[in-house]
Amino acid sequence: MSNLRVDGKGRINRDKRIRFTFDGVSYEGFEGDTVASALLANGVHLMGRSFKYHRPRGPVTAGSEEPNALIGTSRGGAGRFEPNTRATVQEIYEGLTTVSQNKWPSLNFDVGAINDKLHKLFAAGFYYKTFMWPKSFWDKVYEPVIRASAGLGVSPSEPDADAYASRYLYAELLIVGAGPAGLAAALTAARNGTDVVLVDENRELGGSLLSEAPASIDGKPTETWLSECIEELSTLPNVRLMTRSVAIGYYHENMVGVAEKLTDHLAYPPAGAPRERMWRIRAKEVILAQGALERPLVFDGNDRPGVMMASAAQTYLNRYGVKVGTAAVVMTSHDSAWYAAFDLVDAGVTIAALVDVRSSVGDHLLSEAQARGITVKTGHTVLSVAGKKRVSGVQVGRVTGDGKVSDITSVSCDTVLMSGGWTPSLHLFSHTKGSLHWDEENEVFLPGEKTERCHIAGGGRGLWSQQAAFDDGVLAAEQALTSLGQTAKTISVDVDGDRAGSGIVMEELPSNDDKLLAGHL
Amino acid sequence: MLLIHCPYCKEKLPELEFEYAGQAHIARPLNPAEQSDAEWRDYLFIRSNVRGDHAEQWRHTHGCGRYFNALRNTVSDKFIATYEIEQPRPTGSEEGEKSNEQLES
Amino acid sequence: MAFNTIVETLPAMGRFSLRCKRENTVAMSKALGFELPSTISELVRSGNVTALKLGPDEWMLTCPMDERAKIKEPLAAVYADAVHSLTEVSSREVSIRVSGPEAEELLSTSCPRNLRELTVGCGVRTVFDSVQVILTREEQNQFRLDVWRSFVPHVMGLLSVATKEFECGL
Ligand SMILES: [Zn+2]
Repeated sequence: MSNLRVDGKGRINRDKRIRFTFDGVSYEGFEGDTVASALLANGVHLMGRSFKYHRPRGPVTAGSEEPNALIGTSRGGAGRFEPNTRATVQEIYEGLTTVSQNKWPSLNFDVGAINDKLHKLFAAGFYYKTFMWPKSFWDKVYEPVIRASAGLGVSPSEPDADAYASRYLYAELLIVGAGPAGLAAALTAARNGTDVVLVDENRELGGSLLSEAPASIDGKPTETWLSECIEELSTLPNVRLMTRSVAIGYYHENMVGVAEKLTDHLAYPPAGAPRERMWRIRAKEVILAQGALERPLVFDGNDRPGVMMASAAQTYLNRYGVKVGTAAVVMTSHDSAWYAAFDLVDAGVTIAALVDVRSSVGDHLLSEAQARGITVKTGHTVLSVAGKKRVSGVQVGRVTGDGKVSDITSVSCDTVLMSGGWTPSLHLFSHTKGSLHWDEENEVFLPGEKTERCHIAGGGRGLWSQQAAFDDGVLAAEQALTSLGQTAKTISVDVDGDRAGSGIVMEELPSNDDKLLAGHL
Repeated sequence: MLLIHCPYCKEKLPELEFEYAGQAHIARPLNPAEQSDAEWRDYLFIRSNVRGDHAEQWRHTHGCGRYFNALRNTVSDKFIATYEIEQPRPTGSEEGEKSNEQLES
Repeated sequence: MAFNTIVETLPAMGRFSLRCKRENTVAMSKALGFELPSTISELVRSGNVTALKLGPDEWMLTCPMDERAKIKEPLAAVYADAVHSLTEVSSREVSIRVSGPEAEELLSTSCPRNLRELTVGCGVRTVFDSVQVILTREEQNQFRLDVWRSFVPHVMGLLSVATKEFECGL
């Protein structure tokens, strides 16, 4: 088994080794790892198969937005199996048992994958029309085989053995998301004496600061600044910090439902402990600082194991100390993937090619790439991906004036990192019936008219740099406090080595082939 | 979950303490025996179905126990006002009044 | 920090539901020998008798079981001049006391009200996991729940589950 850990990187606890199993094989990780980061550190990308065509799938993200790396987890004892857990979210603990899904008879050799080869035959309703004859085949052959190979995971067969708790909570200010914007807002309000609740879905506060640390904040290393910030917040009596807590719904009159995971990361939970706690938090003001999600790009084979978001590779590196591969091709339409590439090169990953569909990019990016010896291909695109259960290479070509592609060459790699820019996370805002408006310049939906007393800060407003997010968090807190009738003392957070950037949106990448655009489910 | 201001308790309290109790300001005819069948039917059953500001009764069942009136916008589900049971219907929001469309029953 | 909040049921006490019109409250107060509270949630104590205003025309009066005559007799005496309804509900409810540093948070497991806004010495009718209760804040860290008898096992069960949750410290 390969070891893709990078010395000196990541926020995992290297003093605490943890063993867990995936499909019966025992793997080792560290405290702080997710199932995905620990498997990637062992060189495992193939974590499941897709629902219908049973295409091999690996993680594409490093967070809660993961669509592919869905696994089954067993937490010991009857009624404690859970299907469709995101491997990118589930933390490992000693003795955790996990299994892959949608494979039969095994993950590496899957009968259902024949559907992939025949996908043109498999129109909607195919199952109902085709397997009708001969009649006697239905009970004995067709149905058992279809049942064995269909479904998104396996339903638990036992009643849930766990208990779940609930709590009502009132606060003056609820902040959702503890990245730079959320932390800046929390600091501003907390120092003012406001009654603040800060919730974040991760095990650690920090958001993007954990994945992409700027050179320094307020003259201190990011890690120092972050731990001092959390220390300050956690000692203030007017602040409640909640980690592993997902804001799941935004209801009338600023009530936000928050599901807090209590025991899913513990090898030995205290006896009788509830597994999760549902909070109904009623806040006078709400700040949504949920950041943005990176957009995938559309090209043939973009779902192969080894193809993932550029930001995910950066998170695996900087947060978990894991290289997602040894040779990567970057395919992007946004500056942010360039920075991800720089981080990867600095950690010893070879960037086989940095492909940007834009014909020109900023000089500072080009010179930084040149300094690292990266082969840059601007005005180029990735056409297709080679490899079955893991990427083995890509076809790259030059985008011509008429939107077609020429000068096609092959590039070997074991990883493809894509970035199609960023989409503000406005799901919760949309629960409030708040309107979205289309921002022509940046090609994103931004928050429009509000129906509740809420404020959006940072990436949610289409602001990409960390300095901008800090500033916007302070601003949002000031607005919230003014609305509460309190006078806010402003604060400032100064980022050194901030990585601002921009990009363009590509609905689909240029290609010479139209037939590949059908979605692979 | 809504917060509802009870005009008797003079507090904004969780919806769980309240119950909806039908359209407001429907006066019982003083002499039921003199009503025609159609008039009596209208009194008993015919209700408006407003898209906009709707005057309705609520009861603070698990609080002070009192019935009271409320003006609520049926599109935004926001309370514009709550008021004691004998008081007249207040004017609604400009937007609500504008969009007050009575759907045919 | 160890969990240190106690949940206990209290011995039976005399309870009366008093309903009367505003113009008769003066006579009621005079008969009882103390001023009935005039705003909802206000609680008045006179000796062993308490009066809590629950609604515009509704009070809950309590006293020790053997002093019930102190409420019944003087009010019966003024009935002819000040019409009212006094109903004894002593056995309808059981009181549960929750006391200790975590009392407020323990109750927030099932009570949707903002308990921080319930001031000491005040009481309200509200819900506790959809059970109607009268909740009184006797002291900063001491609450009393008056619960209809048949709901007591449910409420005590919830409080016991919540206590276990707090005790495991997560
Ligand atoms: Zn009320």
